[in-house]
Amino acid sequence: MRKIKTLRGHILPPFLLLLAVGLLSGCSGGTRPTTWTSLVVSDGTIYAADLEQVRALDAATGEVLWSFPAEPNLREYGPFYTVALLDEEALFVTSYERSGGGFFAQSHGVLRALDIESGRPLWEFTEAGGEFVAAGAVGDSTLVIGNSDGNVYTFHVGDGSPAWSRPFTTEGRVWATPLVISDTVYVSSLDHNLYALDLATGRERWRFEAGGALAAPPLNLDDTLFVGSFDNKLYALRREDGSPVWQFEGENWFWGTPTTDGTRIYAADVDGNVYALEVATGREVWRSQVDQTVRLSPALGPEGETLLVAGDSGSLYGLDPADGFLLWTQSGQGQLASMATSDEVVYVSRIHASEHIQAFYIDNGRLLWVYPQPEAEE
Amino acid sequence: MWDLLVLNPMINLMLLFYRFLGQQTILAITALTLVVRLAILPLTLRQQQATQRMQELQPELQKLQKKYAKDKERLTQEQMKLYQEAGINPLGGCLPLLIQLPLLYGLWQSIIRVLAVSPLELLKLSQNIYPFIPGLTNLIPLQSRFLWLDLGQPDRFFILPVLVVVTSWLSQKLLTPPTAAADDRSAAMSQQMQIMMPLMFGFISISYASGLSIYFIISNLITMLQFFLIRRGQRTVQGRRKE
Repeated sequence: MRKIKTLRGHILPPFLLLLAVGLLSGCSGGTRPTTWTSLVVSDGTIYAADLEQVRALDAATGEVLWSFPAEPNLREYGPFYTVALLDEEALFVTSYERSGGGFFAQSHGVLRALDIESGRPLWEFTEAGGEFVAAGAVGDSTLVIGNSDGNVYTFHVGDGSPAWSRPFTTEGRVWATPLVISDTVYVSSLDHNLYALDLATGRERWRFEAGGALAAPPLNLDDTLFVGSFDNKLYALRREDGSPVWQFEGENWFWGTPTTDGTRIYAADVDGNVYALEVATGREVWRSQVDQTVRLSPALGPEGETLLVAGDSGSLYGLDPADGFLLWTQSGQGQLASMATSDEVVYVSRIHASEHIQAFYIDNGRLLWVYPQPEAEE
Repeated sequence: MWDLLVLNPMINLMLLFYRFLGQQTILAITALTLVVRLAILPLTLRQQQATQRMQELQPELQKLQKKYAKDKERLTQEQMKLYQEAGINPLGGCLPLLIQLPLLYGLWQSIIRVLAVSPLELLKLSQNIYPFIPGLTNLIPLQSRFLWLDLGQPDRFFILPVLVVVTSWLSQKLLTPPTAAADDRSAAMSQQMQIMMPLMFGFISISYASGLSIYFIISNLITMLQFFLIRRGQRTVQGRRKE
């Protein structure tokens, strides 16, 4: 009896201590996302990086068409965060995977090309030093993607071989999807610079240094680029040489890419302030506010009658682009991770929520479907 | 409320240190740790004094435990009497500890938040920076490269986790008073904690950003320095009393 008591006295405290450490470091199960998931819509299909799996869903019903891997298998694949599309050919997905075992496992970013019809893997790249936070962009059969290790990598989409002799290196993490226009790729980096690079060679054409970090790709309109920064400013730059046209100062960081209807620029800062600015001058036309942090880029509905703003804490807002008046709100559980529009529907993905993907009508915010569907959960 | 009172002041102070110390993240972490430890020094001293006085009473307490081993009620009464005579509050060491712990937790949290290892953390940071201090927001993200380290990632070569374990063990060893042989169970517990706590910190160092490991190491070094300074002070006072 005394032996049992002694054993309990000796084993219980360290056991409780280890349990506390386990809980503290997230060993209690489940996937703890490090960044946001993303989705794209094309030709009636949604492709979503949904942590445990990449899924293709029917955009009309939310029905799953295929998944990769077929069953969740976090020991070998995932969690998946980003997805980029090369129409009718391939899907490029990224994940942050652990290699090595037990306490000494280390995470690294993985890029995979999947067959768009079946989800079958075509090739993969595992050499990046950090996490892929944003999806890649495709131009001229080249995939361009930034990584948290500060590099911009390029691949021939067919076989995954490098397109440049070596990656282009920036001084900060690259968390933005590159913007490819013709033979130039524009890359925002957390090192405060927007780089214009030759798509074929990776040679730097020009760079623009903002006062703060850049976490989103620029918006292109005619020959002007519009990009927001963590110095609370939104910059309009000449696409040819990166020289500034105008700048606008908001209340806090601009994280997402602005959007436009051709005459106005719509942008939101992380304090939830939404701004409408004149394209030519940057003059403020109106300012509205939603009651949540806003990171995602705002989007316009198909007819330009609704401005969609996604709050980080889960609410989706429909604003009137004419004056910023709130038309409707859809609140929901978890964080809104990404948003994409197609025709009259807006699709959102969520993290920290039981409903991972939702579809809403843009004109009134009414829910169309959710994934996973409630009956599928039972 | 937690952000307003604890996290935001620490985060902005760290950013100011970062700005004025050559934009060196390690120096900013060191400076913030020093300032917080300095701010709670009176509490630390009070706690250590209370612990020491309790330690001095141990022989008397053990005598009582033996004498009244079969009468728990009487034992409690006698113990309270002893505390009263010695002018000691048996919980006197707890209150300073209770005040210190949230501040140290805040320090830990603010370092993790400022290092902004993941995009999710960086977004949270946007709500912690004082807009009335110009230029702070332009410092984000902090320079995270230092020698072989990315301060936002765990140390791939495990050098820092080893240093964390060694310094944690040393500081635990110094701070844990020797337990009387008569109290076997306390001694065993104490020895286990001396081993388990450093291992726990080592495990955290392997799993979390290496900037946090830097904090652990600096904090342990400060604890050891503090211990030696206090002990020297006590010896000086005792020497004067003898004279």
